[in-house]
Amino acid sequence: MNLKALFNFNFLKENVRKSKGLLAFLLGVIPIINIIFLIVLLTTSSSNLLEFDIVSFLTYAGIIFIPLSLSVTLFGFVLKKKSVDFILSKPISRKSLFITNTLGGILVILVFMIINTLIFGLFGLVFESLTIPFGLLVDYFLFWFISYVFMFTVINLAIVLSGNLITSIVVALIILLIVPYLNGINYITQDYYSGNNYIICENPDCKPESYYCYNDDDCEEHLLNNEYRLYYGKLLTYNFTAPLVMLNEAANNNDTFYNSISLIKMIVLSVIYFAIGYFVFKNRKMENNETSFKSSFAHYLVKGITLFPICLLTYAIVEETEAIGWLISIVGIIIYSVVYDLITRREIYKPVKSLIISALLFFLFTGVYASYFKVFDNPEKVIKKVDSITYEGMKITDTDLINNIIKSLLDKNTMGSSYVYNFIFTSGNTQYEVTADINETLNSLLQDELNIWNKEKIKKFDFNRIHYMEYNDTMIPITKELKNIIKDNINKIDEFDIDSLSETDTLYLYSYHNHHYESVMIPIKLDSELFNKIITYQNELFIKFREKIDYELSYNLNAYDSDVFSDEDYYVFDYVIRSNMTKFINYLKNDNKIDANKDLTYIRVYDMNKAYTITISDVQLFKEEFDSYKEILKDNKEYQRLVNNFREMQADGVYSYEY
Amino acid sequence: MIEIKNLSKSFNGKDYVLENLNCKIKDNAIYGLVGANGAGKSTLLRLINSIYTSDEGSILIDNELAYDNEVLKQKMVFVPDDLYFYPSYTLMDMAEFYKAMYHNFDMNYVINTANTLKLNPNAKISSFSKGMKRQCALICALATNAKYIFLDETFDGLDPVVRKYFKKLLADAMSKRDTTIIMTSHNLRELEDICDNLGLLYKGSILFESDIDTLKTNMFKVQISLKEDFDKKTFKKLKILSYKKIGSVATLIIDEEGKGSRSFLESLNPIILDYLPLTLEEVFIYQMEALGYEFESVI
Repeated sequence: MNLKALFNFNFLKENVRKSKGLLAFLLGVIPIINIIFLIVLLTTSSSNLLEFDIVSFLTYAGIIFIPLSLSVTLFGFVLKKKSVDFILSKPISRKSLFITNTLGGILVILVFMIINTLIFGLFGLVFESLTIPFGLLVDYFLFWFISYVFMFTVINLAIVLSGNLITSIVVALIILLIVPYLNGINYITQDYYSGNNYIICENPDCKPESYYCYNDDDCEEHLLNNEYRLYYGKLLTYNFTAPLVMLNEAANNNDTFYNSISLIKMIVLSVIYFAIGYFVFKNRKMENNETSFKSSFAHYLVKGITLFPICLLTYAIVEETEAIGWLISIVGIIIYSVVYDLITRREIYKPVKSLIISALLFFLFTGVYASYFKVFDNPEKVIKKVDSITYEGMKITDTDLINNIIKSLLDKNTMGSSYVYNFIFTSGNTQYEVTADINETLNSLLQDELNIWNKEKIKKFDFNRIHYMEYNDTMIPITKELKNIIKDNINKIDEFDIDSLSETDTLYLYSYHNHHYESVMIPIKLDSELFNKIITYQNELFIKFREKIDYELSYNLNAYDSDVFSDEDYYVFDYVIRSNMTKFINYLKNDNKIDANKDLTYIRVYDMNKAYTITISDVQLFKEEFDSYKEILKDNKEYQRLVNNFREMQADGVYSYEY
Repeated sequence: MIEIKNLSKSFNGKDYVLENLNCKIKDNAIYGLVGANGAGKSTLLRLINSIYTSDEGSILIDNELAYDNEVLKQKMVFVPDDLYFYPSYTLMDMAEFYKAMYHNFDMNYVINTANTLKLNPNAKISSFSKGMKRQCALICALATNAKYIFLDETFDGLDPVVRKYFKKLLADAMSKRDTTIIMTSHNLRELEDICDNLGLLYKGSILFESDIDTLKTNMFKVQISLKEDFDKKTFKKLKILSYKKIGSVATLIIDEEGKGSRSFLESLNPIILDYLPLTLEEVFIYQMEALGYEFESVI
């Protein structure tokens, strides 16, 4: 096939020329807003680990408007008789026109995405405090490029199917939302935490020690079949396509709305919609413009489909009210029918026929909803087999433990226990969310399992691909040396109780893998060299920053060392340090004997929106240093005022340092 | 040559705008398509230019099927009745667009013609009057050097001077570049002095077509009076399209077709014998009447 016959470069060039405004907006304004967004991020925080959802913020905001503008610019000509005459009389075939415009639009989206991806990438490279892993950039580019192309092909199809812009938008919304809507209807009938949900337990290991039915015949009937009542809700496991991708996060219990299945769906659907659009465009009756559809059947069909979700609302009104509900609903449907015609056709199209059809559809749809909800609402649901249980990301497949959990959940004795767990039960392709109390024994067992699982997770973590390291709210630059130290010492993890690590003992590691951040917490004292290097880096970071600025910061002593420092010390700490800054910086510069085995103290330093942590190696020595600062200030009026102030408060019983 | 065979088009599947239309338009001619509003003139042009798809029939241009034929479209340019220009485009911008689309586009032609017509090629077309917009469209169309130019309501909005100038440009295009021009109008007088051929479109089909010279040279209005009493039968040897007698003077419309009416009428020793030329409108009126149509209902 002759490529030239499929793609008319001259026509594309002219299309680009005529769309200068839109292109300037897409390729200029939006990237500039993205740059501003990144600058704001940089100025408001000393370290940023950018997540997919964050970098996607602005791109997502444009998911409807940008493809719509592009489609209208490229295919909107079919909606006006004048422009149809102008374009179709030019020496370009319909085939070439459709392909040129579609590929042209995709090219614009591609350039748009490349510019935005490059902006994120360059910011990541230039600014050390901004972490944007390459994998995230690839995901951002691919996901949004495909989402935009998907939206673009859907709107193109909607435009070539209809005769004016409003109808095109209605058709596009139908294509995009009809399946998620039906899925949503199906989901809401699953009656979250209904009293009619049961779980089968035939194995003696899962049978509860205490279970009763409160004279509930239904419950007792189920009990005869080893079915126990359990409160659970079915999870909506739907992989939404654009523009609803944000729902993927909640629907699939993920920490990002990036979704590979959605991506594949969008690729396949884009190809299908492109093919349908091509066929429709090639055979389109070009006289069909400036009205919804040439065919009255198509008009009634689309209007009828839009009535379907509206009838859910009227059904709810009818359900909640008596005859007045029917009256309100019918009047509402008539008004909608008239307004729809006026908007899409600028006339009340065949008013009598139109109103009769709308009224009939109203009764039909209300009947459909009524019967659907009667049949499916509050149905008895029974989980027949639990394949796995997930808790805090830990997947439990061990049958004994599964039975143990079910037993604890069903056991009435555990009700009101302080251990409330949120489990995800997987049965085949369906997932259920169960929030319930468990007994203390099971709690300990699960915590042990979680501890083992966490340690295994840490060992399996890919330390070669650490993208972000954080200690005490400070981003630590990742070096090969640090990675090697961690890798070489990771087996020592078994010596640590990782569940009871305090914030000052924990080093957070993040790796962007499989489209999301995997994070592990390792003890900072896993190895003394690691600890030393990180603490030294943090202290040097603060010293460099302090020497650079000409304004004051706020200094707070960590409260762990209350036995060394008095309450008064805490109260005057900020003033004393600020008044002896040169000495304090000199002290820090010489304080390089960090010992992981000794008690350390921390000073938190606050800038306007950043925080630094200084680690002091020898508390006693620092106390002496601090006392010497106080001695220097003893005749200082402000210092005296602070001390007096504190003492008065203490005498009045007002001041008490909260440890 | 443009050959239209059994062409039918309906917008609603019931009422046909064009029905079983057959027509041949020879090359290097200016073909005028006349007809009342709604006769199907614009629809026919849109079908020839592949804007609309026909329900039945075919259109051949240079013996090739015209529909969606990209190669043939290089030889065709269409100026519709309702003009369209890209927003905020100037004449030069439009010319650039045409240049990108047509291989033989002549940019100098645009500049020179715009200068002659005192059109600012760098002013936004949206700020132009209706007539100036049409001038822009016609200039671009003529600059394409297309073999077939289709003009719908060609001179709509043009003042008489500019109208005359464009008629000259069209005649030049035909004579110098062998262009075939198909133009529509509901106003016969507008086409009279420029078209070689005329087709009358009525209720979706060509009711009547002929070349203008033949029409004009073969048809005469004759006023005659004889010494003796006479009636229509006196002239039965002639092909009379219309006969009216007021007092002793009769007015005849004669379709000559090379029969030599003058010698026959002189042989009757008339008291008065005047041969008067017919306007194209009169030619059409009498032809229509001869075909049994009321002219007013046709055009």
